[in-house]
Amino acid sequence: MYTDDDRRYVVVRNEEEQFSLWPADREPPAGWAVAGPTGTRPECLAHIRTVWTDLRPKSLRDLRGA
Amino acid sequence: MTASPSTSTAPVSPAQLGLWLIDQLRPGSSVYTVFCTVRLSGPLDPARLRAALAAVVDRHEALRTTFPAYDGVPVQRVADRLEVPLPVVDLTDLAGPAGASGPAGSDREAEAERLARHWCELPFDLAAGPLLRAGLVRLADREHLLAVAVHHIVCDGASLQVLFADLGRAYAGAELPPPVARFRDYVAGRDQDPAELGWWRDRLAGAPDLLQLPGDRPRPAVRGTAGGTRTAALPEELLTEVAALAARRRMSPFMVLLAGWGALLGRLADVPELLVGIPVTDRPEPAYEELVGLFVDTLPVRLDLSGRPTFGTVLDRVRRSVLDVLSHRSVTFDRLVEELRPDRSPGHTPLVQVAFSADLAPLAEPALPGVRAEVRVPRPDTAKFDLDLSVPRDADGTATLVLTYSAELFDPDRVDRLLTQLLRLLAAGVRAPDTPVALLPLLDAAERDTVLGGWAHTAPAAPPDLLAHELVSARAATTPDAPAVRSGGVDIGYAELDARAEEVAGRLRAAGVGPDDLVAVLRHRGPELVVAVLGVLRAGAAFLPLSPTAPAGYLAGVLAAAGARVALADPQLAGRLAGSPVRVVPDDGPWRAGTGRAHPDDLAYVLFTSGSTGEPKGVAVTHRSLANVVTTMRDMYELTPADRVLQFASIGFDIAVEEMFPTWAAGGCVVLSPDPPPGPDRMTELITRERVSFTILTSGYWRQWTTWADARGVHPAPTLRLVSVGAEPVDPDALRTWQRIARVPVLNGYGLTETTVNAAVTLLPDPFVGDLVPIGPPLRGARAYVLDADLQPVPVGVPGELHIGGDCLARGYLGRPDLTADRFVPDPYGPVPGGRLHRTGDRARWRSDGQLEILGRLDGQLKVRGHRIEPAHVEAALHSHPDVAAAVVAVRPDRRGHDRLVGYVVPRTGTAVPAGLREHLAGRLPPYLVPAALVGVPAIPRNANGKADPRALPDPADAVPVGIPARTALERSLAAVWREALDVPEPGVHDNFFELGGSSLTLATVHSRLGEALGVTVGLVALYEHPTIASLARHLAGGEQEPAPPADDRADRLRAGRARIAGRRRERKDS
Repeated sequence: MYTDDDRRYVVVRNEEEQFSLWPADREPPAGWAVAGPTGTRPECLAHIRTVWTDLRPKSLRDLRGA
Repeated sequence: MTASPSTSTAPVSPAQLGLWLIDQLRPGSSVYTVFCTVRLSGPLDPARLRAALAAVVDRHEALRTTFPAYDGVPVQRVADRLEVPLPVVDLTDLAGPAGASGPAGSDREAEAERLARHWCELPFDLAAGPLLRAGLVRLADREHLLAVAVHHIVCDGASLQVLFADLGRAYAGAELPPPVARFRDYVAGRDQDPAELGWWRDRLAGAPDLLQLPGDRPRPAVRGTAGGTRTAALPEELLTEVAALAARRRMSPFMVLLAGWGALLGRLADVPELLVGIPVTDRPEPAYEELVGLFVDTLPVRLDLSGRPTFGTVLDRVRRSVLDVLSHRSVTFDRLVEELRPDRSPGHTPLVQVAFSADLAPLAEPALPGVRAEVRVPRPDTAKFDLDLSVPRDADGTATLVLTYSAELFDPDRVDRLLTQLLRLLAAGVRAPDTPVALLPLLDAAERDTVLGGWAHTAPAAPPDLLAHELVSARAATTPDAPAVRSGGVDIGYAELDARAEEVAGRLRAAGVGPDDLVAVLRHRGPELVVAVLGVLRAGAAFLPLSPTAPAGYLAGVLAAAGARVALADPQLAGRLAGSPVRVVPDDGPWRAGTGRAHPDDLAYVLFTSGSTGEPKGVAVTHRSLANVVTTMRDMYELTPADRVLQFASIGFDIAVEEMFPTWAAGGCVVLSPDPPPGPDRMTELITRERVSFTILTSGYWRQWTTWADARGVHPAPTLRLVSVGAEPVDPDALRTWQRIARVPVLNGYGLTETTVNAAVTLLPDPFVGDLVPIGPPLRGARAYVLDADLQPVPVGVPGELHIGGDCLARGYLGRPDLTADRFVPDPYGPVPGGRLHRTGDRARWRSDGQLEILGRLDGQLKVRGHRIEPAHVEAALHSHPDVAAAVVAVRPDRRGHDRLVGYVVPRTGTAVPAGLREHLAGRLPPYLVPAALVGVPAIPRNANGKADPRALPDPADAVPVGIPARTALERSLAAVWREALDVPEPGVHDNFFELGGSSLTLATVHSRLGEALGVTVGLVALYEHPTIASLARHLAGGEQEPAPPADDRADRLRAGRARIAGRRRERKDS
């Protein structure tokens, strides 16, 4: 439940290029791949803030040709 | 006091004192009866057995001991001789009743069992004795059942072995030698070493003194002893592996089993550490080995599960902890409780609520010549603790997990699940000790399939063939004249609504608005607002509702965060957007036709909500999830063209979406609320006038409305056929009131803006029974999981964080990729790879019927002295008092710097705390949830976002004055007794007895003195429940005439009594 959260996470991304985090000591689930650094939750989130500039799913971005 | 010639007295041991006090609290309870039956097959001579029993009683003075009390202090009185009868009941004549299917023999067996149970449950009188009871049942010539019951205060498990060994020897004709030691010598030798107490104080500093395990019922204010026992075989293979692992790690199998038990409890309670009581036998001299007596005590083992340890690490920690405890075993449990002053609420056992014992040596049978004996220890049906796990081993070598539980807290099926979870966790931990405890499995494959499959996902989402606003256009084509919106007594038909929306859409298109653009809408309630929302959607864009009452600065912040460039605004409100870069599209501007249809993944709306930090965040919701929820709710609410649905919620709240679109999708009429919307006292009038058939309300508003209607004895809504409540927990009492006065079915909905209006909705049973109103299974298209911090499913009935996935998820938080990534996490369980789950921040659990229950917010939990407190739970109890208009709780330090719970209430009239509120709470909440202080305030201070602001609440120290001297004759009498017992000069009426240094023994003294001083009998439990002079005086005054002040010579007599006790204590130390 993420109380007392001093664990390490890794930045992950799915095929729609949506970003999230996953516990670093475990394999990401199906459809998600490591796409960034490992670190504390705030460190991973800080990275995501810089790389995820368009929240639209990739399929929609492709459709709109942006 | 003089001993009669045939008796002698001696002080009691601390452990005996503890059991004596428990007996004072629950006189005659059989909880502390040590009991077993022995099946005797072969020729038995009952007279010889009786003589043997007498010889055993002669040998062991503990069996001749009784516990009379003087001035509230018990002593051991040992009789030189004591006759213990051995009644013989002959059942050989018992025939089976006519028509009974079983053989007569089984009737005898049943009757024998019943008799044995009856003997066991007969109360022991500690003052009078005897404290050993035996009975013999004759089942056949060569078949007998011997029942033996001894009060724990003079016996323990090992003593039973001694007793049986001596019984066998005596029966065989041997002369029993006199014992080489006496129990009283053992007591005298057990002086408490201050250094040992110091070790324990350090060892238990900051330890949690209450373990709150997930249960089936809330903890009662005063715990009873109703219990049950469930068992599970410990497989031979697993036992072998436990023993092998123990040998490898140079520890005992006991420690491995305890580690597994502790790890399971920690996982289920979600705590980093806990205390488990273990039995510790202290027979310091070999001479005591052959003595019957109470040599066993319970001592707490502190189990540290912090820092994500592996099972092996926990094993090492447990080994260390148990060895530490064993080397500091001279301190008794009751002494520890006195020293550490843990929470003394009568709702739970002090310090430890869970126990563990493993007696891997089977109980030895009495060896009677020519007779085969088989000992059976019955499974207790009373509970000493919340959970008490023992692992006895039978004569054939098989081991069993025997779990005795409090029936007040747990149901048998939950206890059975606990046992299987323990076996699963233990097996995995023993086989792979390097696995983090957090990752050891608790669920089997079938349970996983249930909670991740059928329960998590009920039906696929409806395909988004038509988007929400297209459903309106479809109705305009089929029923153009049917009323779609009613406002101020005027109806607007579907065709007209559609046409007006298209006008707005055309002007937006002309202004360059297209799919995935954002259009701010700043309009008062009314048809123009509804038309604007539809117009934005028709233009392919998403609407961003702005509140006309929000401060201009807040609006500017929202517009900047959202990046909106275009707005629709009422002319008189447009000025509020001045200074922001947003362009207001005029009502008479250029118009352009267009067919640019939004994609299902385009945004439909963005709602700004305030996060826990107070910073607004814009939740971006797509057409796909909106379309799903619109048709789902239409079907769930069974909406038809005949329905008239109230549009009551503010447009900034997604309930408004739920009120309008499902109604239009069904061809019904949306009845707009007047502006401003009516208070709860005007709702009945509005609904009746407008013949509203269905409405959706927040639980809080609906509760006030229900209370209003109930108070006036009116039907709240005669035209209503259905009501849906949600957004906050539903008060079960309000629900029952509603069901009594309205009989209109109620649905409970759960959802967050992030999960698009609703994720779960359920029809509530009528009449509703229970304390927690469920939210149902997930809606179609939604997926619901209750997960732990590792995103693993938690077992049924165990709290975890509710995660929602599927076709109801928002895209994320506008312009906040970090927040989006934080709250929308990978879905490890969905059917489509790459799916996401929203972490709701809500604590939830599955009921065993597949319904979800919300337990509160994860971030809202308060902690007071280690107790996890859900503020909503306490606030709901405050709200349930008829004179409380609003309430909030907060944690504030008291004058000693200890955290305590403070309840702030806004009374319906005045600012004084309503009379009887504390008693009202005490009747509904376990003591640790009753606020230590109640403060009346004129209003709950709120921050800019409307959330209660605890920092702005007054300091409760102002409200509960300290050190107030006794004010009434009764309080003065009580204070006099306290002063004597506690040796404090001037106890304040709000001071807590235990915080002033009181112990259970001083409480027993007070108990005895109150009888003398006041001439009233006060239950010992009442003293625990009312630990302040003020509350005790209130309690006494409620039931009794206020007594006359004590006569002048009372104080002298009290002082004399005090001196007597002090003298006796010294004697004890000296002897």
